[in-house]
This record gives sequence, structure tokens and C-alpha cells, in this order.
Amino acid sequence: MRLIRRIIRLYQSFIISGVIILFCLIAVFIGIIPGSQKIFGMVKGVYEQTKTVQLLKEKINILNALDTELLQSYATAAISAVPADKSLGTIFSTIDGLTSQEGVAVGGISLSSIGSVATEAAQKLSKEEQQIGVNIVPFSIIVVGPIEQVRNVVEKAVKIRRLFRIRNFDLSFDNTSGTTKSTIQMDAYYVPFPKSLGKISDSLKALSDDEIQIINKISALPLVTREVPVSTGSAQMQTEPRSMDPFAP
Amino acid sequence: MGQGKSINLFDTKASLSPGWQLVEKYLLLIRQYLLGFVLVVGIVLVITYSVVRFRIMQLDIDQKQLSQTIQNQSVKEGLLLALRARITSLKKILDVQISLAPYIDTTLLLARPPRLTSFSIGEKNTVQISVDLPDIGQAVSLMEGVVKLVEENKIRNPNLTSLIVDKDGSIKMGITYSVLLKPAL
Repeated sequence: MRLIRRIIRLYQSFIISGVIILFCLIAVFIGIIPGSQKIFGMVKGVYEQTKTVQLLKEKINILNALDTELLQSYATAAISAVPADKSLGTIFSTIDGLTSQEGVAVGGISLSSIGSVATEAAQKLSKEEQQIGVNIVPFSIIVVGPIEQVRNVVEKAVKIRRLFRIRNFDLSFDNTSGTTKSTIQMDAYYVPFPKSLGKISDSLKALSDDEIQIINKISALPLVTREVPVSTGSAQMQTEPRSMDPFAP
Repeated sequence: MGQGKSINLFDTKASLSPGWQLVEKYLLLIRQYLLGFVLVVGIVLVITYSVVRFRIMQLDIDQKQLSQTIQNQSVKEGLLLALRARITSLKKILDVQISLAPYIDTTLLLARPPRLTSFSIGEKNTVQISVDLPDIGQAVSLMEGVVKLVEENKIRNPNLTSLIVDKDGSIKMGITYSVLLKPAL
């Protein structure tokens, strides 16, 4: 005991310094380093959140600057060109309008592989649809009339607001009546509405000049069928991911 | 033995060797600096944590308010996003929209019904037509028309696929050619 007491008395200052240094090292490893890491993480979080808040402010500015009526007129034009579903009614009425405008008779319309009349968002796209990136409804029409009028139908069918594509056509001539009969194989396009709005923090951009130019080009196309009304009903608040159908009644 | 004015016969303090005394001196210095460092850094960390925490709370409040404002305009946002998606589709469609009228236009420049007896479209933008002509003169005129259209770059690769001369001098010709198609819009 005497020896221990003597050693303690002799090395007392070493022991005190050692305890303090040990305490400091523990404080560094247990307090300062993890604390710094946490604060660094929080600062990074603040940086990210500041960016998000800035983005939301910009988004609100863009939304406030949007003209709802103008958007709806654009949407109406876009939907009348490419509906959200197969919209067989507009196919028939457009063909009817086009042929009557050009003075040719419709000998028949046939739809092939239309599947369900209702649109299925998850429907498997054909290879051709995947190539274009939109859904198509293939159909064919038989038109009868003078060759110039038949030619005009072929010309104008791809230049009207309900967008069609002519895949192929043939011509046969009846010399007794002087008429030309043509079977035109066509595709009508449709694109389902997007199902969700995405996150609130997703960035939003106003329509670019190129996009407005495209919509103006579409709006300028003659409409030979009645327009599809666009609903202005308000959407309910939803939690993320927000489902969306802004055109739904 | 003690020296000087001390009356104690023994040293009250145990003495260290000069080497250990030097170590003790440095240990004192190190512990002072370490304590100072821990204290200063600790205070700085606490202040920084408080400031950052306050800023996070502020940003949370701002973000909630802004999100609420955006939610209130979700119809407008949905309209814009849906419209943009549709414009993207429209662009893809416009890119593949081709007018096939030149098939008929070029044919009508060569022959019209009833001289034109058949018309069909083949692969690679080719057109195959059959023409009945009353005499060789009109056949020559038709061929001149074909050459002219090639020169005007309206058709390419013309081929005379068949030529039949009847006893009455009428001629049946089969011609194929390819047409240059342009975007419709």
C-alpha cells in the first residue's frame, strides 16, 4: 500500500493529465466526430431542401403565369387530333366528313384487330406502335368517285385534325361509270392520358416555343368532326403519387 | 537530506527525474490544448446545430406552404403535364406523317382512266401501272412523259415491265417506278 501511495503521489500530475487527455479523446470520438458528421449531413439536407423550396417557388410562378383557358384550348386541339381512347365515333365521323367534303361515296369501313373498345393503358403495344410511340387503330375504307376526288381524299386524310396515317391504298377503274374505287388502309392514333402527376417536387416547365409551334400546327389543321369537350372540373387533393386525369369529367 | 531554510528532515515532495519532468511539462500543455479544443469545437458544434435545426424548421414550414399552394393548382399542373405528353406524341406522329398523294399525282401525269387500267403500290415506294394505248405514237409520248418526270426528280427507277402490241395496233404497257414522298405536314 505504501508503495502504491508513493507511486500515486509521485505520478499524480501524470494521472490527472492522462485522465483529462483520455476524456478529451473520448469527447472527440464520441461527441465531436459523430456530431460533426450529423451536422454535415444536416447542412447537406438544408442545401437540398433549399433547392427544393426554390424549385417549388419557380413551379408556383410558372403555374401562376399559366393561362388556363389557353391551356384548355390547346388541350382541346390536341385531343381532337389524338384522342385518349380509340374513339371509334370520331374515326367514323371524320371519314364521313372527309368523304362528303370531297364528294366521294364510302363503299365500306372495316376495323381490324380493334380489341376492346375501351382503352387499356397497360395494353401491350405492337412493334409498330412502339416504333411510333403511340397506339394505333388500323382500319380501311373503300371510297368510290372520280379519280381526282379519290386523290383528294388520299391527300387530305393525313392533313386533318383527327390524325390518320395512310398505310397503303389501291385503285381500280370502272370505265363504264368513269369512277375510281380505292381501298385505303389507314391507322388512327390515340394516346391514353398519363396516370399520375409525379411528385410535387418534380420540376415544371412552361411550354416551349417548339411545343407551342406544334400545337399551333395541329390547331391550324381543318377539323371535319365535332370537337371533344375538355372538362374543367377540379381535382381532389391526393397524396403522392398523385393520380391524374385532368380531362376527366 | 534537505538543504536551505527548511526545517524538515525529509523532502515533502517526491522528486521526478529531469526527463519525466519534461514529459510532465508537455503533458500539461497537451491537456490544456486538448481541453481548449474540445470546449471550443463543442460550443461551435452546438451553435451550428441550433442554427441548422432552426433553418430546417423554417424550410419545412416554407415547403409545406408551397406544396399546399401547388396542390391547390394541381388541375392546372395536370393539364400542362398531360398537354406536354400529348405534344410529345403529336411530334412523333407528325414525324411519320407522309402524304401518299404523289403516287396518284405522278400516275395522272402519265395516264388517266380509261387509258390507265390498273394501279398498285409495291414495296419501297414503287408504283406499278398498266396502260392501254391506241397506237405507238401515244406509247412514245408516254415514255417521254416518264423521262420528263425522272428529269424533274418526281419519280425514280422507271422500268418497262411489259409491252404487248395487239393486232389492231393498240399497245398494253406495264410500268413501275418509285416515287419521292415528302412529309405531309
